[in-house]
Formats: sequence, C-alpha cells, structure tokens
Amino acid sequence: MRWVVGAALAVLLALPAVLSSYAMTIFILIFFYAFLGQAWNSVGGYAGQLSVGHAAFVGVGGYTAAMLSIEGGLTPWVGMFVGAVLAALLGAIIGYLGFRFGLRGFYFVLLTVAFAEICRIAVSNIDALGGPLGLYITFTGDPRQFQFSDGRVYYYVALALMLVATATAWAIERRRFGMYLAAIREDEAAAEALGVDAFKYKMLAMIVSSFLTGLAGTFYAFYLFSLQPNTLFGIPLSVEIAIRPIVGGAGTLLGPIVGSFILTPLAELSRLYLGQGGLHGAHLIAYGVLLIGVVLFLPEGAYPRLRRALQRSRGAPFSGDERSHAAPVSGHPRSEPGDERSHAAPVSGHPQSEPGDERSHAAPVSGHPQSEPADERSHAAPVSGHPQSEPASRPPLQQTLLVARGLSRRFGGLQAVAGLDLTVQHGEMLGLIGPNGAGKTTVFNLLSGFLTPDAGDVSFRDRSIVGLPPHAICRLGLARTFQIVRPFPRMTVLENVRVGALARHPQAVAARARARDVVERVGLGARERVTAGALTLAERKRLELARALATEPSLLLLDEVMAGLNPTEIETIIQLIRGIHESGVSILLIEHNMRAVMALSHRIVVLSFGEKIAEGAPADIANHPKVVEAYLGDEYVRAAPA
Amino acid sequence: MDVTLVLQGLLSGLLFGGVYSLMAVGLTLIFGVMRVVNFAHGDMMVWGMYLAYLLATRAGIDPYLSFVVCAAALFALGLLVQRGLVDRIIDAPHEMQILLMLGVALVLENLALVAFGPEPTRVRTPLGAATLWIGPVFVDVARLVTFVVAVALTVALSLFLYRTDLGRTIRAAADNTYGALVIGTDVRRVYAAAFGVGAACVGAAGALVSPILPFQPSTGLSLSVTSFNIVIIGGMGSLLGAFIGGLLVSVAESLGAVFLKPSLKELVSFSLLILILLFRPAGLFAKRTS
Repeated sequence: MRWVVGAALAVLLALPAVLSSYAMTIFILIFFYAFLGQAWNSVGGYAGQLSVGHAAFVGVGGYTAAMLSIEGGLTPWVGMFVGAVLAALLGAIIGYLGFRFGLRGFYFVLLTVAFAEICRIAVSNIDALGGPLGLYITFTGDPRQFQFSDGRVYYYVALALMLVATATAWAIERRRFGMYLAAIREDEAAAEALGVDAFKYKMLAMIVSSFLTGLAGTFYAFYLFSLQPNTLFGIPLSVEIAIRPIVGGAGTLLGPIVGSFILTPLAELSRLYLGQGGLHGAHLIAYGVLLIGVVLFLPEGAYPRLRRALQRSRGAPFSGDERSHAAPVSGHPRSEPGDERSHAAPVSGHPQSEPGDERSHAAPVSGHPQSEPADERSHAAPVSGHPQSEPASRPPLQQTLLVARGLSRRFGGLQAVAGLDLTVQHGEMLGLIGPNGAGKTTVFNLLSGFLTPDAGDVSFRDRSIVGLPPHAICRLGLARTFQIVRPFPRMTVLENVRVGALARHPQAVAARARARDVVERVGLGARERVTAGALTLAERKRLELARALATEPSLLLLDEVMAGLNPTEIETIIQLIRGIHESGVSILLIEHNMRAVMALSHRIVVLSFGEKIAEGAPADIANHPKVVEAYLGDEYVRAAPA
Repeated sequence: MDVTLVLQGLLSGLLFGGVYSLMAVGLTLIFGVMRVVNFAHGDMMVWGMYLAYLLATRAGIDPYLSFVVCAAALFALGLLVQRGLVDRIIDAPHEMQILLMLGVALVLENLALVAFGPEPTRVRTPLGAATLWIGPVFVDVARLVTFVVAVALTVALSLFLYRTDLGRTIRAAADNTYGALVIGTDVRRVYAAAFGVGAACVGAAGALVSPILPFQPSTGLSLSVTSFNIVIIGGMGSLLGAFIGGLLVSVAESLGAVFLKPSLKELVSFSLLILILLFRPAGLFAKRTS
C-alpha cells in the first residue's frame, strides 16, 4: 500500500510537466472536490451525520476572504483562515443545535439545508456583499493575492490542500477520535454506554469539517474570481460536495479521493461535450444514476470494493475476507426470544440444586483480588470492615458501592418503577429478578443514565450520579450491557472491544492490547477479526460482555446475558461471569434463568410492577410466597400451600 | 400598513395554499406508510407541470381538465419508483433512502432540463385573465379554481383513506407495518399504492398550479424543500397536519412578501422550519403523547 501511495504521489507531482492546460484544469477540480469531500467525510462519513448544507461553509469562507481582500486589502493567505474560523463557528452552531436537540437522519439533513438556504437568501439580500450578483475579483496575478498567472501553481496548491485534508483524516482515523466517531455512527447509545461522549465528538467532527470546508471557499473564490450566492451557497453545490465521498466510500480514508477521480472528470467531460450540444444537466443525470446505483449495488462505496479486489489479486492473506464472507451462522435466532423463555423458567422451590460452594469461593471478599490491571480506582476504595445490616446477607461485605433511594419513573400512565431502594455492596453479586414488565430494564436505564428518574437518588461510590450522561457514568466505573445486544455490526470484534478499552486507555496501542486481553478472556480470540454482524447470538452476548468489561468497571450491570442461549452456552457464560466477579468486579444481574441466578447471586431483589416485593438470600427468595404469587398468581399459592 | 394589501396577501396566500396542501398530503402519505422521505417530490411535481404544459400546447387540453391525466401518469411513475428502487432498500438505514431519493431527484430534474431547457414557462388558460372583486380585494379566478379543485382532491383522498378497504389497509400499514403483516396484509402492494397515490397528488397539484406559477426544471428543488417544510410544521405522517400546514406556510410566505421584500419570503419559512425542528419536532398539531 505504501508503495502504491508513494508512486501515485510521484506521478501527481510530475504530471503538470506533461498536461495540457485543459487537463490541468480537470486535475485541479479533482483535487479541489477531493479536498471538499475529505472535509465533508469527517462529519458525513466517519460520524455518519448526513449534511446537505456544506455549501454554507464554502460560502462563508469564500465571501470572508474575498471581502477582507477587496475591502480591507488583507491577503487571502491570512483571510482564508479567518474565513475558515467563521465557517467553523457556523458549523459549531449548526452542530450544537442538531446534536443537542437530537436531530437525526432526515431531520438533521433538513437542518443543514435550512441553514445553507438562510445564508443564501441573506447574502443575496445584502448589498454590501454584492447582492444576488455577488462579488467579482479583479485578476492581478499577484501570488500574495492568491492569484497565479501560471496554472501549475493552482495545481500544486489544490494538491497540497487535498493532501492536508487526507492527512487530517488519516490522523483522525488512527486515533481514539476516529474510533469513537465510527462507534457513534454504528450505534450512538451503545457508544455512550462505553464511555463515549457522543455530543462532544460529533461537535469536534463538525468543527473540523466546517473549518476545512471554509478553507476551500477561499480557493474557490480566488480560482474562479467570482462568487455568486446561488452557486456558492446553493443546494446543488452541497450535493456535489457530498456525492463524491459517498460514491467513493463514506467514512473511508481514500473514498473521497476515489470518488472525485470518478465523478469530476465525468462531470467536466459531459459538461464539455454534452453541454455544448444543448444538453445541460446531462452530467447531473449521470450523477443521479450513479447515486442510485451506488445505493442499490455498492452501498459501502467504490473504494472498499477496490481495495478488496486489489488485495485479492495479489493473493495476500486477507483477514478481511473472512469478515465479508462469514455467513451468519444459522441455528440461532437472530432476535431475542427472551419473552417466551422467561415463562418457561420454573420458580418452583428447588433451585437449590446448585451447591452453594461456588458461592463460598467468592465469599471472602475482604481482600479483593485486584488482578484487574491499571485499576487506580480500586485503591480509592478503603476496605472497611463493617458488617452491613443487610438482612441475611451471605458474605460479610464491607462497603456500599451503589445506593438507590426512592427511585421512581413513570411512562405516561404506567408507573414503571415506584420508590425502589436498592443497594449493591462492594464485591457483591446481586440478582434482580421479576416477571416480564416488572421494570428491571428500566431500573438499569435509570442507574446507567439512559433515563432520568422522576424522583429518588442514585449514588455510586458516594457520589450522586443522577442527571449524569451515560458516558460519564461509565467513566466513573459503572458499565452496563444491553438486553437486546447492540454490537457495532460493521466493526470487527476487536474494534468493538477497543471502543470500550479506550475509555481507560486513550492511547490507541494500549487500548488495542487491553482489548485483545479482554477478547481472549471471553473466548472470542479466534473470532477477533470477524465483523460483529456475523457473530452468532451466543458470541454477540459474550461480545456485549467483553465491551463492557473493557471499560474496566467496578460495577457491571448485566441485562439478561443468558437469554436465548442453550444450556452449554449458558454454562460457559456462568463461568465467565464468575471469573469476572472473582477479579474484583461487583455485579448486578438481571436474569430470567433461575438456576443461573440462584447459583450466582449472593442476594436477590425481586421486582413486581415496579416495586420491590422481596429481598434476601436465594434460598429464602425461592420460597417467598409473594414471589411465587408474582410469578404464578395467587391461585397457585392457595392451591399449593407450602 | 395598508389593510387592503394585507387582506389581499392573506387571500391570495390562502388560495395558493390549496396546492401546497395537496403536495404536502402526498409527501406525508408516502412518509407515513413507508417512513421514506420522497426527496424527488418537487421534481415529480415539475413533471406534472410539464405534462400539463405539453397537453395544453400540443393537444389544447386545459390544465383544469388534464390534471386527471397528469395524476394518472405520476401515479404510474410513483409505482415504478417504489417497485423498482425504493422497495429494494426499504429496510436500509434512512441515510441510504435519502441518498437514493436524492439520486431520483437529480435524474428527474435534469431530464426535464434536457427535455425542456432552463427557461421559465407557464401554461395559459382562458381563466388566467379573469378576476372577481370582493369589496376592496380581488380574486384571481385561476387561483380560486386551483384552490377549489386542490381542496376537493384532498377531501377525496381522505374519503378514500377513511372509507375504502384499500384506504383503511394503507392507514393500518402506516400505523403499524408489523401488525398489518401479521394479519395478512400484502404490505408490498400497500407500499406501491401509497407511493403511487402520493405521486399522483403532486401530478395533479403540478397541473393545477401550472397556470398560476411560472416554472422551470429547478423549481422542483424549492418545491421539495417547501413540502418538507410543510410536513415538518404539520407533523410528519399527519394528513390533517399537512393540509393545515400547507395553507399556513402559503399564507406566511404571502404575508412575508407583503411585509418584507419578496426575495426574503423564504426566510420566513426556513426560520419557522428551524424553530419547529428544534422545539416541536413532532409538528405543531401533534397531540402530546408521553
């Protein structure tokens, strides 16, 4: 790859020597649009926030530099940065409104369109900016005025811009920033749960993107010498900007360049040959057809396909191959069958078949095995020796990790959680059970910051976490999994886990090493290069666990990690959970599999219709009349008296 | 400010709004059923206009009659787009659907450009010159007829949706696609019907507006954006919201042209759009469900 890039670069550097001036113009436009596409890509591709309003940034950048040059005599070499800063400011405003107010998909597209149109109409109506006719720049050929009599200079400037934007994208892609953007694009809520501040990173992406696009405005102005509001701020330019990276491969490093090399010559040549024959718009028909074709047949774009084809032809051992061909192993339901299963779970009085001895291994929690590396947090926890006043709590646990008091949440007419008190001790494994619809997952959402309670308080390690966003709670050491697994489907297993690991290890290399450890630990080592979308359900459940674990939590909330698994798989995951617990992580477990929950938990809390109806040791819970009633109805209780 | 001028603006805005309503009802129907935003909506409408233009200039048929033909032709186009393209990516992420429809829009707009050139045209009709006076304000007869027919079509469409079996099926599928599937609805057929009917709305709207609005191929883009505006204001997927929203936006633009410079009238609707997006994303008339 390095060779190819080096050779391509050498060719591009040498090319002006042999190009005709028309061919040179086409290359300048290729570089220019590749630059714009690269700029768009950081927010539209990597972060997955589709913008059809990027022309606004070109316009703001171009008009600023032109006005500063015409009215203030400031050289565009400085003015371009002033313009870019103003464009970034506009980008920050649009991003803030869009991301803070949670506009996605079509709504975000409309927001960007509306801002660009407002800019266009405003500029058309400001006489000082030339009104609808725009601005014209007199050609002086003075390099200090960003004007060159020799077309080759424009060529090299455009090439340099493209390379700068590509280097920026490369730097983003390799860093935590790029990884986080990809995670946000795949599944924002899951990313938040892994400690990713989605708002912050989307804002950063928007600012980088609008800044670079603003730079392009100056080049546009001083290459074409005229600025008209309808072309510079118009929707058609926004489409031109977005279409190249999409055709080339949105969210890939070379996608915008490949897209520009395909589309720009196509546009220019058809403009030249068809436009002269009176067929204006023919190149736009071609765009439309290409766009439709890409969406239907090549949704990831041309570049990823090209790369695979190249690698295959060289016969290189290509790990990516197994990703794309790995057929989803059948035999497992793709979706969560959770509900049916839970009915089958017997709550009869004999869940005690599991001998209690595993539990007693976990019991001496006094000196937690702090095998968890890089765990600064654990030192912070002074291990005191007070026996808690918890009723019949099994092991003598010393310190409270999480306390929820009076936790309540209502959805319309449904009181999902009502005045719940919940305590998790340091080193404890607490089970949370209850019939379907009892409010268990709502409790998890309240604890992990995905929902805010209507009333009540949650404190984690002696600090209130109510109102904190999920990513902040994750960084405090409280991680969760989702009942319906939410892997980042187009990222590999290892990449999925790396997103979690980056919460504690900002350096990419350290995060990768850490992620690899965790992947090995959950037994997915052989599958680390497979994309998550191709995993079986059992593997996805383990991946879900691995990602949460990689954030190095002190408390792990597990939401039905066994649902939908067969008995062998359940046994594996039980061992895994036990191992995690022994390494010093406290666990709060929602589970319908009674055998597992009884075997694993020190203590169990039973929820029904949002209220806690029982709490205690597994053996007591199993025979608790209220629990039996909640699961089987009071008739059962009367019919089968204990 | 002259009261007559304001009344005049109010009236002509209201009368023009009938077309906006019909257009927005078509868009919201497609969205409501398929959750697909028809980015080619305005361009389809422009094709309705050009069809009316062709029928008027070549065959001498008045657009107030030919709108039926235009609606039928656009129904066929909608059906084709749905069956040939949209159906293949109905489960894809919204971004992909947006891009697909953007592609369709580009093709339709520029086919019109190749076929008819960039100069603005309008369709002549004998009604075009007639005016009525109601006290101090005048009524453009063409606008009045356009308004009456557009409103009648909207009413007919809602009767179709509320009183016929296919209409009820379409509404059921819009409410809950999965539920409709479970009770044995042929959802693909419903999708095709909805897309066809939605496109037929703009076919008719295009023909009806062709005598009173000069148009060119690039008109489609601004019509699309206006339709998005209206359905967001009225609430995505709500038929009544689209109807009222159409009248509202038209009146707002018309009054904007009276109070501000005419070139600033779009500023009003875009600002309104941003405010609604941020503070009432479910639309002005959405019932609060929480």
